[in-house]
Amino acid sequence: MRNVDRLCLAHFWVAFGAFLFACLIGTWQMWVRSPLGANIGTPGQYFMSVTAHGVSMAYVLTTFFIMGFGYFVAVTALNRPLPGRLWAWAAFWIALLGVVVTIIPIGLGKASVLFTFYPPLTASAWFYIGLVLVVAGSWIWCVLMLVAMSFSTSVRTFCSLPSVSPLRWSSKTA
Amino acid sequence: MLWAFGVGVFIAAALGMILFTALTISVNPPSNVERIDPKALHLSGEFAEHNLGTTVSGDGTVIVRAIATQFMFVPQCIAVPANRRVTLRFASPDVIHGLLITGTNVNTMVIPGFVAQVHTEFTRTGDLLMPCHEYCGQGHSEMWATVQVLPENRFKPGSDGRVSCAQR
Repeated sequence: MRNVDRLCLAHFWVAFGAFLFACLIGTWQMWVRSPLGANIGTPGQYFMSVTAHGVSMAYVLTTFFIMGFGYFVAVTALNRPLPGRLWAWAAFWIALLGVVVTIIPIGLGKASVLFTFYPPLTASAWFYIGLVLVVAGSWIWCVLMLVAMSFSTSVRTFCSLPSVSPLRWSSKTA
Repeated sequence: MLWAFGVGVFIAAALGMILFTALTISVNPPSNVERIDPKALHLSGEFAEHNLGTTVSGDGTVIVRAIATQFMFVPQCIAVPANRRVTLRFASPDVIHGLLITGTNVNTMVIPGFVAQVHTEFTRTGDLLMPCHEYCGQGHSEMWATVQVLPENRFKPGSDGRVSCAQR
């Protein structure tokens, strides 16, 4: 039934790997901006690390976690295998390629624009292309979630409940 | 139903807080929309160098004009009177900046192409910090100015109606 264990784990490895990386550089940022670490590092390094921190926390952690968690919920709550598993792996690799394409210009100091972009400051084009690939991967995930739902008879049961309450839903399926 | 009610209460509370702060301590977004050519700020008009700073006009209106640019405010110190309505006007020739004045309701973005205008009344005398709060590049954290709030008897405009920060 659970044909998505490796798929979910792969997403969670990337998500929490990004989280750990962001925690480490976040600690470094606090250190160098406190009296303890005064005069360590340059503003260039600082804002490069702030950008990497924001991208990791706001885009990589959230996107990969919600994708992995979504697949897990889809198969356990709907109680059937995930349709289109090859598409799911394609989405994973597209989004991961996006992360790599984003991280390289950040690491080279060519994209210190923070994760919220702040126009008209501009980063290297690869920064934006990489982020678009991350989003594109998550769109494939969105479609797969809809496909998984629409093939399920459970959906009809869910919609015919007199009151659509998450609590009642979980007690029904338990 | 219960969940929908809970969410409704939460949204109402959030909107209530925004309304409360807007009505009691004047925390609301600046509403002025005024265009200006960012490429010609320094050439003529109110944001040319000799017009920057604090000016008191004939009818007693206090207007502060300043430029926000990578990576400083011009002028770096702004003198204002306490307990009197002050109009602050800012413009940027390069990228988006922002500013707030600590302990007051002054908080605005400064977008190239527009004049950011806010009105306020400073109630306490002393030096206030005015940092840039919109990321504008690698010197962003070094971009700040001082607002010197002077008591009425020390806020003395010169014959040209201009006031500068007291020298110390």
